[in-house]
Amino acid sequence: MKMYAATIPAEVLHLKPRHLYYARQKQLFVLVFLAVAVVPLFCINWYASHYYENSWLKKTSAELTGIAESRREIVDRFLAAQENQLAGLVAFGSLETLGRQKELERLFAGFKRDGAITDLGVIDREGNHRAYVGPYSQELAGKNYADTPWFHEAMGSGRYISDIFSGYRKVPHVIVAVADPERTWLLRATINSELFNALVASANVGEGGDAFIINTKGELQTPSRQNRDGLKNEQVAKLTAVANEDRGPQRVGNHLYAVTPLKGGDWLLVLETDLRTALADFYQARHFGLLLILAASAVIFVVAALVINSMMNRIAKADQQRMTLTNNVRHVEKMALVGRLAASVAHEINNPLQIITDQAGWINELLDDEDKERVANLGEYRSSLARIRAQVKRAGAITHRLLGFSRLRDEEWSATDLNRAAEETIALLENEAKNHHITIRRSYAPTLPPVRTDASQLQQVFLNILNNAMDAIGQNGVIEVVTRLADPQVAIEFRDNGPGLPPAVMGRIFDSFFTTKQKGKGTGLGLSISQHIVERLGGTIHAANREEGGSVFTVALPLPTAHAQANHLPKMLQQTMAVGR
Amino acid sequence: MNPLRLLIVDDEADFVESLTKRLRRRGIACDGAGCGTEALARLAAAPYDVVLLDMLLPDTNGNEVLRAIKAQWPTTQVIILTGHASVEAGRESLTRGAAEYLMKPLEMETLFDKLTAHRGRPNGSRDSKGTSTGGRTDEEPFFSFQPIMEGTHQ
Repeated sequence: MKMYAATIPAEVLHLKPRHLYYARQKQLFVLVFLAVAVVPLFCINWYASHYYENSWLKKTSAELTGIAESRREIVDRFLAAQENQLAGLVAFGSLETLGRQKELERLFAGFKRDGAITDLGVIDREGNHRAYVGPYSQELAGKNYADTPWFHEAMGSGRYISDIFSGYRKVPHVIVAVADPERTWLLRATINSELFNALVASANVGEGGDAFIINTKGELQTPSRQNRDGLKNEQVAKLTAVANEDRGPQRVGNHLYAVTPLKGGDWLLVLETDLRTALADFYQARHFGLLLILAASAVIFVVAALVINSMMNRIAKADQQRMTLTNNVRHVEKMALVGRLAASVAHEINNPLQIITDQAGWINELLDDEDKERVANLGEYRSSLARIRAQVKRAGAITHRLLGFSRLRDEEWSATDLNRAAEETIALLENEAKNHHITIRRSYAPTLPPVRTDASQLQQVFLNILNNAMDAIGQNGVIEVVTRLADPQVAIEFRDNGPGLPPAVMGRIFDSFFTTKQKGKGTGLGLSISQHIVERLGGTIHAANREEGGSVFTVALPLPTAHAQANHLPKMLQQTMAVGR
Repeated sequence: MNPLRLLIVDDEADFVESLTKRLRRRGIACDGAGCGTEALARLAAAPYDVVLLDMLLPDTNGNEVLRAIKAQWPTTQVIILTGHASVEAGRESLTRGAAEYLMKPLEMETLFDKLTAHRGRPNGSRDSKGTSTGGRTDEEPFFSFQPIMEGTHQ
């Protein structure tokens, strides 16, 4: 039990910087914890995402390639079929027969049922339109094609399929022409553009996709689903390169392109699919996975923060306890040094005091031998000697107190306000209490009659009890100091919310040299001295455990009633006052 | 009754002198010794009923002298009177057989009461010298354990 109030300034404990340090450590640990737990999650997600995206892309590419192949075949076959049909007519017919309008009409009626060809014309080697069947007879009858490029090409190579063009009729269309082997005439047909467009348009490229045919100039040969007007030259060059490299579909941004040459490279069949549509399921799954990981990260963060917070709090508490212990040890050492200094001074003074009182006593004894009549100032001598001895007693009391052997001095009894005495004692300890996060609450009786007692001794008792309470609590707690009037006594209670007193200890706490504290921390005298003091002051002290936990020490002192002043002079006090008389 | 024979062991000559003078007036046969060696020499030369012993001596400390006295003259009562009091030294003295452990400054009346009180003890007889190996050493010495924390003198 400490004999002295330990007031350790906050600067010494370095509380503030330590707190910052713990906060930084917490942040660091949380970050590390999070990184270790979350980074692998994201890595796995990233890898899985890429893996599945690639496989989805491959699947989509394969599908698109398949579609492109089949469309190419369909378109090629369609065009070849039309060409072959015309070639057959040319082989079996002649300019003379088919050049006759009637004959051509009869022929056209025969095969127009499949709807692939919308008109048919016969042109001789001079380019004269000898016969025509179809919806544009008004515009085309009797026209001469000798100046048109396609006529020359058809007459040159024997077979010809045009790009889409407007021609004389001013409507975009595709024509197929086949010349006879001798190049004396040719048969020309216009392909049903709706039917032809449908061949391409029906390609299943999904929502947001496109399927069309372009020529080398970037002109659309079939309409674009996305209402494109045509492609620029560099786009065509790229598509051509894709088609020629034969590396399968290429991805550009969010789109996948499959390009395949048609009509011997004159045309390109372009299939475009929007990956956002094609990979919608995948993207949805990836999105969900990401959300799941974020949620998991949040949970990990919260758990890490809680665990690390609790861990760091424990470390901080342990650190603080260790620091407090170190400070206490230092404080005890310091106080021990002060005590030794005081004791050595007191020791040195006791010897002269003894001699002074002996000499005074000797003079007093010698005065007895004198003739009373002849010693004029005998009374003065006697009273002076008595005062010397009284002062020696007083000085002795002081040195004994310094040595820890406190003795009651009656002259120190005065009317004492219990609340004030308590308040002054608490003021000594408030700083230390704060350092240990201990709150001291006061609950003072507003009008408390003064007691006749030795205030400084009483404060020593309060100090001992409060110190014990603080030691019992350690860190974080509440001490309640309550004063009350319990006629014919006043009482003061010190309630703490520490661990309380074990039953085994309860009976011995007021014994000298009994302590539950660590070796070197307590002398086992604090409460023993307190009990002696209180009893000398005519009061009582007792300890109990509180129902709600912790212990309560109650000091009760008698009120100075007329009766009490006469007879209640404490027995111990009477004894003390009798000493040395 | 024979006068009480007292040996005062203290290095403060003024203390020994004044106390001797005052106690002699009260019928006590007093001698003084300024150090532990002198004290033991006087005890060897003549028997004493009571030894008033200081703790801090020029050549040794009081507890050593106390031990020597109790070993050779177990019936001689030893009262410690010192200005250098401490709880530990007090306990040691009482454990080693001191009858009292008193602190300076002390009033004559108290001291006189203590001295005469111990003279009246049954084992306070003077034939202890030379019989130190006898059965008397087994006797319980007068032992007044008075917790000095109380600071009161009865």
